[in-house]
Order: sequence, then C-alpha cells, then structure tokens
Amino acid sequence: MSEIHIRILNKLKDYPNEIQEYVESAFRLAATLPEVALAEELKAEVRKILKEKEIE
Amino acid sequence: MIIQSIQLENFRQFRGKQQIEFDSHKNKNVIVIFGENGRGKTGIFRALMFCLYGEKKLSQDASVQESELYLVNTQELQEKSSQGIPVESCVTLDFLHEKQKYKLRRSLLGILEDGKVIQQSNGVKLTLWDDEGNSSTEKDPKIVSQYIENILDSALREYFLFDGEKIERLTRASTEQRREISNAIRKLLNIDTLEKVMGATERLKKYLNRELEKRATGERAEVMKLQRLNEEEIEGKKNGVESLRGELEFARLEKVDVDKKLEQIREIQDLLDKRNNLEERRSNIEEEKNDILRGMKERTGQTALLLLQSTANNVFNSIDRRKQAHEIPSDIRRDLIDRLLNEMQCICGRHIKQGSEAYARIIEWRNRIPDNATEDLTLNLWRDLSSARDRFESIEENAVQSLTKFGSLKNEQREVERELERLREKIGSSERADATKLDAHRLAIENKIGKIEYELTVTKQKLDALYDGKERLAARRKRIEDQEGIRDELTRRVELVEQSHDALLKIHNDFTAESRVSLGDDATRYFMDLLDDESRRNLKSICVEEDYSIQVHDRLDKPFLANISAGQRQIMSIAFIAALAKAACGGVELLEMPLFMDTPFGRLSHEHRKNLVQQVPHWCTQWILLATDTEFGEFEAKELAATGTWQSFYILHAEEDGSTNIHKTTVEDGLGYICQRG
Repeated sequence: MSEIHIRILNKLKDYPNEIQEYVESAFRLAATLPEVALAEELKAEVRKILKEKEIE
Repeated sequence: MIIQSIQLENFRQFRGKQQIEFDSHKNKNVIVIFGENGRGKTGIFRALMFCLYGEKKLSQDASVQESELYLVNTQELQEKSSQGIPVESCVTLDFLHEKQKYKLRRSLLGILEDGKVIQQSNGVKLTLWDDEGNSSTEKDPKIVSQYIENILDSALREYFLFDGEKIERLTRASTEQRREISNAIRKLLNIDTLEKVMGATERLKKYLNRELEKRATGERAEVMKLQRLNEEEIEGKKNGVESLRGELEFARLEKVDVDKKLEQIREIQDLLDKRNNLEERRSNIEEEKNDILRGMKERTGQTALLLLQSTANNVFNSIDRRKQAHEIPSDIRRDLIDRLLNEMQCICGRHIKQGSEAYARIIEWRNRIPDNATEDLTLNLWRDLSSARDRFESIEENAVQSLTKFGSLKNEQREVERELERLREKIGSSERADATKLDAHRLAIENKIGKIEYELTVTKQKLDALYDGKERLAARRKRIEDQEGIRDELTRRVELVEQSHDALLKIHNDFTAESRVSLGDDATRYFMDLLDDESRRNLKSICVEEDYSIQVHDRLDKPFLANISAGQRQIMSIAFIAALAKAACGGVELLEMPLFMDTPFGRLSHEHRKNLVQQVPHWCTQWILLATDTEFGEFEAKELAATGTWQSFYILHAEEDGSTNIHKTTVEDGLGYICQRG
C-alpha cells in the first residue's frame, strides 16, 4: 500500500467502520480497474459490507 | 540522487563518446554547461531523462510527434546508414542514491531508411553495488523501472528542470498556470487513485439514487426528483462558472494585447513626431541652401573677380612699384620732349644737335616715358585696382562663408536623410494602426469584462444557493425517511455511498489545501532568498489560491501580483518550481536531486541574478546551470566564482559537421573565456 493510501486510511479513522471498509475495498479494486468497471464492482462491495454489518 | 557522471554516445548533437563528470565535492556543487542555442544544453537533461525513464519526450515537446524526435546523432546516422549499419545511441549514468552506487545504461538503435529515421529501444542495464562492493546487474526493463521509480517518481521528474518555457508559463496568471499547479499538486500527492475512487463513487451514487427514485412514492419521490434536478443544476452552474472564467481570462488577455498595441502606437507616435520635425528641418535646410545659392548667384560678378585677384595684384604691384620709383607719372611729359626734339632746343635754350650725345639721351629718355594716354590709363588702372583690392577681401570672405555654410547644410541634410530612413524602418507598416479604433475596442473589451465579472458573481451566488438547496433537500429527505421509518437495503446502500463520497471529498480537499499551504510556504522562503532588498521589504509571501492560481501578497497582506515587475514574476516562478522540486523530494531541506536550470536569468536584474547564483547552490546537492552566451556573461561568471561553489565548466563547441563537442575547462579558464568573450 502506498504512502498516500496509508495517509488516506489514517484520515478515515474517525469515520464509521463501513465507510473505512468501503474506501479500503475501493482502493484495492482501483489498483487494477478503470473508473467505470470500478463503479460496477463497488455495487457488489456495498451490498457485501452492509450484509456483513447486518450479520454482526 | 547525486550524479557522478553522464556519458553520451551518439546521442542527439553529441557524436561519438562524450562525458560530463560531476565531482562529489559538497561545497562545490555548481556545474556550468555553456553553449549557444541549439548546441545541446537541453539535450543533456534529455539524456538524463532518457537514461532514467526511457522517455524520448520532455514536457516541452508536447506538440512534437515522438517519431519526429531523433535521439540518435544524425551525422553518425547518415554516415553509417550509407553502409547499412545501424547506429547505437546510448546514455550511461553513474549515480549515488542513499549511499548506494548505481550504473544505469540505456540505449537505442537507429537507422536511416529511405530518408526516414527509424529508432528502436536496445535495452537497459542497471548495475548496483552493495556496501561491500559486490555488484549485481538487472536487465529486465520492468524491474529497472521499479528501482528508478523508487529513487524518483517519474511523474515528478519534470520539476527538476527549470526551462524558460516553464518559468514563463508560471509567470502568467492564466488557466494554463492553474492547470500546471493543479496537476503538480495532484502528482505530488499521488492522488490519481483517490480521484478514480471518487469518480467511481460519484457514478455509483447517481446510479443508486436513480434506482431509489424509481421506487419512491409521495413526498419522498418528489424530494428525490428535486435533488436530482438540483444536482443537474449544480453541474450546469459549475460548468458555467468554468466557462465564464475562461471567457474572462480570454477577454483580459485580449485587453493586454490591445494595450500592447496602443503602447506601440504611442511609441510610434513619438517616432512620427520625430519624423515630422526632421522633415521640416530637411525642408528648411533646402530653403537655406537655396538662399545661399541665390546670394552666390547675385554675387557671381563680384565673386568672379576673385579669379583675377592674383593677376590684379600683380598688375597693381607692378604699377605701384613703378609709381614708387616715380616712373609714373613721369617728371616730364612725353609731348614736351617731342616739342624739344622738333625744335631741336633744350629747355635751357641750348641747341641740340642731331646725332649728338645729348640728342641720343633725349631719345632714350623719350622712349622710357609712356605716352600720355597710356600713362593716364595706367594711373587710372592703379587707382581702380587699389580700391578693388580692398573689396577682394570682403568678396572672398563672403564667398568662403557662403560655401562653408552650404557645405555644413549639405552634411546636415545627409544626416537628416539617414535619420529619416532609420525612422521609416522603425515605423514600418504599423503607422497605419489606428489608435482611435483601438481605444474604442479596448473600451468594448472593458465593458465585456465588466459584464462577465458580473455574470460570474451572479452565477456563483446561484451556485451557493443551489448548494444551500442541496443541503435543505437532503435534510428534508432524511426527515421524511425517518418519519416514515424507511430503512430498506437500497436506502442504506445510498447512504453508505454518499457518506463515503463526502469523506473522500473532504480528504481530497484537506490534502490539496495542505499541499497548497506547504508549497506556498516553501515558495515564499525561496522567493525571499532571491529577491532584492527593496522587493523583500514590499513583498510578504507567495500563496496558492483555492483555484490553484499563484498570488503574491504585499507587506499589508494584500494581493499584489498584478503590480510586480516582469523580473519579480520570474523570480516568483523559479521559487515556485524550486518548491515543487522540494515537495517531489519529500520535503527535505537540501534537495538530493540535481536541479537543471536552462537559461534562467532572462529578465532578472543584476541584483536578482547575483542572489540566484548565491542561493541556488544551497538548495540542492547539484546545480547544473545550462547557460547561453547572452545570459551568462562576465558579471554572472564573476558572481558565481565569488561564491566558491563553482565546480566545473563545460563548453559546448560546434563542430564542422554540425555536431557538438563537450569541452571541459577549469573554473579559472572558464572565467577567462567568458571575460574574453566580453
């Protein structure tokens, strides 16, 4: 993970967990996907995050 | 990174193998590479970039096709291609980074086919030495590239070259300047991925809101529709603000252009006044010359006498001598002697005998005495010549005066003609430029600027109102959803995406704001180092505004950019690029990268030039000053030598075949060379 991503995640520490998870997933996927494909992938990620939260 | 040497072989203008060495002397870190334009100064920075990143193009080559950019030396290419042999062009770089030694060699092959230059990569090789002196070699371009990227991010490489174009670009308050700074901050922050994530989240947010709107009913559906329309309007107004800014900038540039033309006309007006005066003088000279000629013509008769002056003087002197000798008028008139001879009797009454001695003496006497008419004529001539002699002097004086005056008028006339010719060239065709029309055009532009500024203010106010509306709509929707207890899965998804988007936007804004402040602070420090005393008293800081434009504040902290001189703007640009370079080096005080400055002195005053040569060596580990003969003269060379930081001097010599030869000299010889060139 690059320095800038670590700085971004540090700034997110005070945000709710699901936002941190969303951003982390988005950065992970952004390393290989272009913007449009990333938006598509994030649809499923959002569902997944909310489902995990529900289970908790 | 500290460069130890750079070796060029058949690269650009450099034919054969040539090398520049950089001694690792901490306090002597300035290398001057001196050459006329076109001799390959920028080619040395290009060689460095090619070797490190394999890049053929620099940012200044934006408008050039890569295929048209020849890195292989063309002289060698032409010679070898006739034998069908390709030419290898390579750059080898020896450098230290974090105390580790590296040798990087990158090459390409070039051949001339049917008049076209074909170039292709010929590999890269990186050799590293560990602390114990053991070496390892890497040839995989991807792995080599990773090594180099870790040393210096390729996106940031261009901040280590200060060329005239970049300096000029940053001095202009324009969209281009804002774009350059915005791009620089984005590159420095490495926020491409953050922006990609923000873009994707924005897309997802829109998609989910559309889905939600489809399912919503009643007041909630109404609010969601309003939200969508509000978003669309915000988007439209944002574009409107951008486009108005562009129009405003264009109009301002147009005004500057008209002002320049008006200024030129004012200059031409001075020339025209001068020309009118000279033409009037020319006409006066002509009149004065004619007056003199007229006077001379009138005095032609008198003046012609001067031709006889010598003869007249001789005649007068001859008569006068005879007169002084009392030969004329004679004591006895000739008619009296004739009477004596007729009467053969002397005056005393004695008879004169013919043939006697007395008779012969009287005859002789008679012959010596002119006849009365001749004598009268001679005496009259003497009298006339005597009075004429007095007038000769004044005639001569008059003639000399007239001729001298005529001659000087003729010389003045020639000078006036020459000056008129020079003025004609200066005035040229611009004479026709119509100041009145331009003044009217300028007024129209000013009105247009006023209108755009007003429109921009109104649009910004509308945009603010739309943002307020956006907040109100979001609150209203939340209230409805809370009241109706709507917590379906899609709503929660939208919430998560919107909150994540807002969080990312805040981070993005925080990062860029921090960078703007940090860049402004660093640029201010460099700026203060370079400014002369008076400017330092008047100017307080450089800051990067929210729209990424650069502003200079005066000592009262008021925006002052519009009032600073061209030289101060140039200093501001150099300070800002140095701040960018510092940020690219991770914010360290001493930049561990060579700074290349291509002819940076431009419009700088002597004081600013002096500060530049005194300060830059302390900013970085190596300062490579690429200088032309017109910029780096005796003053700059002596000032640099006085700092004690000047390490070596390289001269780029033109060879007969058009290639360039790198010639190293000592600083002393270099200084002598510069002084000799004068």
